[in-house]
Amino acid sequence: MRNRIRRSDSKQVRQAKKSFNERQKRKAKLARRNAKQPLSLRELFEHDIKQTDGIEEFCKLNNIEAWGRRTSKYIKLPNQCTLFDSPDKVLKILLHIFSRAKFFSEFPVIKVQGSASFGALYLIDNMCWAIGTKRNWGVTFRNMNPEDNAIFSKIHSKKEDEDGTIISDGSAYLINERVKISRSNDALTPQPYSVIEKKMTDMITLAMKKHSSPDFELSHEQRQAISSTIGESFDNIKSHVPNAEHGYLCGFYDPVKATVTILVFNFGQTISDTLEGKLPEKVQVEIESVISNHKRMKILKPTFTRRNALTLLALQEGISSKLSADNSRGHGLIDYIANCFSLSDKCRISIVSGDTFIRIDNRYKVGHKFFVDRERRMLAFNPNNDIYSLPDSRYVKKLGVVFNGVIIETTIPLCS
Amino acid sequence: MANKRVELAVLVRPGVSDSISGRDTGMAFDKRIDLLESLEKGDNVEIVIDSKLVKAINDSFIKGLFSRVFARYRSIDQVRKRVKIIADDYYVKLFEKNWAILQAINNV
Repeated sequence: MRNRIRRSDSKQVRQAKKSFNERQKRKAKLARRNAKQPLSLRELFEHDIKQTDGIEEFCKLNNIEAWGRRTSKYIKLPNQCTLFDSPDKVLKILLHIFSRAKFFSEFPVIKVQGSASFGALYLIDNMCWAIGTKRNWGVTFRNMNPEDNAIFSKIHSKKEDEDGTIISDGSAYLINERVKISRSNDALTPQPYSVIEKKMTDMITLAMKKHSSPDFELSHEQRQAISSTIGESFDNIKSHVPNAEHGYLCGFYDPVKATVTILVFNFGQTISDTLEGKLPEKVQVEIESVISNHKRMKILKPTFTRRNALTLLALQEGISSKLSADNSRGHGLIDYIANCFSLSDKCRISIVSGDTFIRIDNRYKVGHKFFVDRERRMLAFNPNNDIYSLPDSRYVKKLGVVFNGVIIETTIPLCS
Repeated sequence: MANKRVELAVLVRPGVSDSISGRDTGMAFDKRIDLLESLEKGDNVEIVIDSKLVKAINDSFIKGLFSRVFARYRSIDQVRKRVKIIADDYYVKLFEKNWAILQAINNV
């Protein structure tokens, strides 16, 4: 409520009205902030509104000031820009989006070239979800082909395109959820992700009955692969990222290819962070022996660093920061990988953590090797499956972007 | 010596969830049912899995459930004498697979 200042007002009255109006403006601003309404960009800059801790850290680690000052509102999403094929590109697109959120009032327009990737777009969308809680926000997608329109109908941050194309809600088989991690003192308290897992498998069963066979039911092996993908990821978040309140889960069933793609990510410690100096002595000695060997053989280099090597080591059977408490720890990742590939060798897995990217397909298989003190399941990504040798740089590589957390995308074919 | 019957279906919520996962869940369930204590008393334990209610069990849960048992008994043969899995073949093999890993860990 403003008090209008009139020409006929005396100087004292003008001052009083001006002071009243300023007070009302301050109160309204405070009320809006307290009501958690998105603020205007001006207010954002004035009050230095921060995004979530995870996003702020991601921006800071990647020096977002250097990314942000673009004049074009368009961001290109190249054809088949997937985490599996182009993790750097996907993460750079995220940074461009965050920079637009910080420095521009206009919503960005993502120009899709060719076919859009489920994993990349949902990763973008979930990050944008967080931005949208702090400011008025939306993302427009341009040139999305009709087949993809239905798939991406559940994008939270989509807006009507400028030329009037509405991305319609279709009957796509999608689940897109921010999932709370329950940290009750009673470990038997059900975890919310188990509910989402059932929703996903019910959705897949429904889709398969409609598109494939009316009698379809997921086999034990198929259920195990899906359950392992979701359960082991969230179990790792609960165990290794104590401050994480949520993980993000996106699941998509493609009825044409009969594949399910599951993307789970969280902010927090990276995989290599969890291994720094926290292992039982005999395991630590062996880990350091691998790293020393890498240094001696000049395997460590700018494209394969100590952190990349530690991330790869964490994948191996029985390697975990929790071993001191329980010597049977450290099997989650390798169990999940083994379950997927025992179902189908056409599975594809992408793991991003810190500046490490690991790609898994049927080229390099999990094998048994002696390591530390016994035979273990190992995946070293070289012809001899030797953890002391350099992994194939197409499968384990250092990224140009750092992600402060873990992203795991898994594609599982459901028909042979 | 008594027989103790443990239904894993108590860990799912029909219509809401149908899988069992989590290392901590396995360890907590072990303590809830006093699995090791029952075996040490001489009880035979039957773990019953109703496939209509339980559609998946994660490896981490099984390792959590049997971690203390294998630390004590160390071999699959010793555990098999005392624990029986009443379930589809798939689940029996799943438990055996994880028992083999626990045996290897506890015999280095």
